[in-house]
Amino acid sequence: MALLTAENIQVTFQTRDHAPSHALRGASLTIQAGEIIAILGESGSGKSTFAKVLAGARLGGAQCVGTLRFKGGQWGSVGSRSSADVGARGIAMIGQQASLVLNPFLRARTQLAEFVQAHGVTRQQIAGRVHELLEVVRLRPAERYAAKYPHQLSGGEKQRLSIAMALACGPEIVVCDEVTSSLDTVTEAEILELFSSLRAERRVSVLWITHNPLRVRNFADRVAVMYAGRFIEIGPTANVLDSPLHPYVAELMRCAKSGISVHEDRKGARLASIPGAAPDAFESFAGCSFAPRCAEKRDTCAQKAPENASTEGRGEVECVLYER
Amino acid sequence: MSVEAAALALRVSNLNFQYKKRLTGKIAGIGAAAGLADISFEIRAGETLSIVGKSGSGKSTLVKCIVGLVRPDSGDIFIARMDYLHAAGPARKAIRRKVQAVFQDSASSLSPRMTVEEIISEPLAIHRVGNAQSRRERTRSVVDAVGLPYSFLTRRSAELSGGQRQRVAIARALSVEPELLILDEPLTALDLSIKAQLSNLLAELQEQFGVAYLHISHDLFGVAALSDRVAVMHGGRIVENADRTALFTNPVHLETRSLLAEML
Ligand SMILES: Nc1ncnc2c1ncn2[C@@H]1O[C@H](COP(=O)(O)OP(=O)(O)O)[C@@H](O)[C@H]1O
Ligand SMILES: [Mg+2]
Repeated sequence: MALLTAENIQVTFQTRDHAPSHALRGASLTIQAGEIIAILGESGSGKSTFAKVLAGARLGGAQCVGTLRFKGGQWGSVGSRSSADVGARGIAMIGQQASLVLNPFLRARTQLAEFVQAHGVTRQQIAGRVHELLEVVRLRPAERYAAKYPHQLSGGEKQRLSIAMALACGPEIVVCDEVTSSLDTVTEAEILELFSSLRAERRVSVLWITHNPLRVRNFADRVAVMYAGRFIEIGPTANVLDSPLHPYVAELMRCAKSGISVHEDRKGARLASIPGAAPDAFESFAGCSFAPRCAEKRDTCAQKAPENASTEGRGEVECVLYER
Repeated sequence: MSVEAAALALRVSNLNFQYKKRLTGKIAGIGAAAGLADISFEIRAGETLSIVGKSGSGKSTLVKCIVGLVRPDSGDIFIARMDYLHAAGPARKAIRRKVQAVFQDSASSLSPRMTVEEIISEPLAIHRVGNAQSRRERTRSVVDAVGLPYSFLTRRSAELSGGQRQRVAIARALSVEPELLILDEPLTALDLSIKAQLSNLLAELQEQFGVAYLHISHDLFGVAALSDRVAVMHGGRIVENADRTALFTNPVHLETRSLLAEML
């Protein structure tokens, strides 16, 4: 069953001295219970805005359109009071910088206790629940970590503590926005491992936001690629990484793979790259957002936006090449 | 001077540096910065050495020694065949012109209110190169070389994207015709497709201007395409320094293997 459905989410920020900023231009995604989805996109593509919409965060004065459904029930329009309530109960969000949520003056157990308390646990249960959460995020031995202050933790440990805080409310979906982007790859691998077991043990769904396609292969069930505020390709991980449908995703994977193919023996060999840059949020365009950079574009691409096409077993794509 | 020595853009020999006790306490607290232990390597004119190592391995300390922000305890640094550590006054300034640097976060080092033209021509003014007219011409030629249109000259750095800002930083560094460019993780913060564009640009610029690169990176992604040699740093030492093909196909040190394993 679909746990959460986001339909045609559009978010436009009104800025004082600029044109309106279109952070999301109609993003749709369905998340199944117990599923790990990687959201892959370059900076400015709208990933964080999408995460905030799901988590029910306030989007300071932005104009929001679209619907969210949680377990089949309508949950109100995006950015409304009711969506914030559901978000607060069922969906937890973790960001790139643990330091933003950790209080430097509190021991781990005190920080966690505050979160546990806020979610209807009796006084007697608090200590036990704190211990359990530290165990869940593998901060072991829990007694020792409970007494530590944030500055006594490594970057990876701080991130684990912030994950424990997010799990305090018993969420069904955890949205992770570039959680490992400032960590080294070994620590990143440990955190991926942690989320894999959380999913296995507790059946939580994970929305894993990242800009690095090389790290999601053995982790995510599906990959959703975001470009200029829309999901332009969604499919099973191996398909998206190894035989992508959308020309942008194909080019992106060529970039990624040429950076790790180390066997060419001639110096001066060039990496695969994509000319130009993605449109920024201030631009408006009628047709396909990738058309200006696309090697396979047709005459119509600049004028007509592509329709969403489902391909048998390989997922969905928004590109004229797949329209029927 | 031997014929071979004449062709060196950078020679670092037996460099040692320890952070002072008072500082190490603090630094260790935020994740350990190694000093430098007996670092020696060379970069030939027009070639690239990449130094790769995890965070805390000492890469940034090494860069600080070479750009003169930190004074090593012992050892020698020859830049463009001139003794950098023992030079003073105008001689030191002349050497400083031969080595320029591009950092990961050039946004923080470029004043947001300066125009691109001011940013790029600033080193020319500092080193009193030519007159106003020739500086303007030089600025236009490097802007062109890094693939930005002239219309960018009047923009301010705050209006640029991350990739454009790195292009400006590269143009600024090239303006004074250095022999050596220090590239301290210049691509790390960029998106993949932009990273690849800039890596290719750096390769082209080296072919065009014959400038040598000391390229610093915390991982091996894209390093093969840019390098002649690759050195691996670990705990303040260079633990392996090999021809690029040899390093990737026949890594010897454990740290090198671990970096290679991380790549995939
Ligand atoms: N508060 C805001 N006001 C104006 N524009 C914004 C705001 N937040 C995000 N944007 C714009 O929306 C676009 C998408 O941003 P974001 O969701 O942060 O992307 P990502 O997380 O993929 O980097 C960007 O162009 C950004 O500048
Ligand atoms: Mg973001």
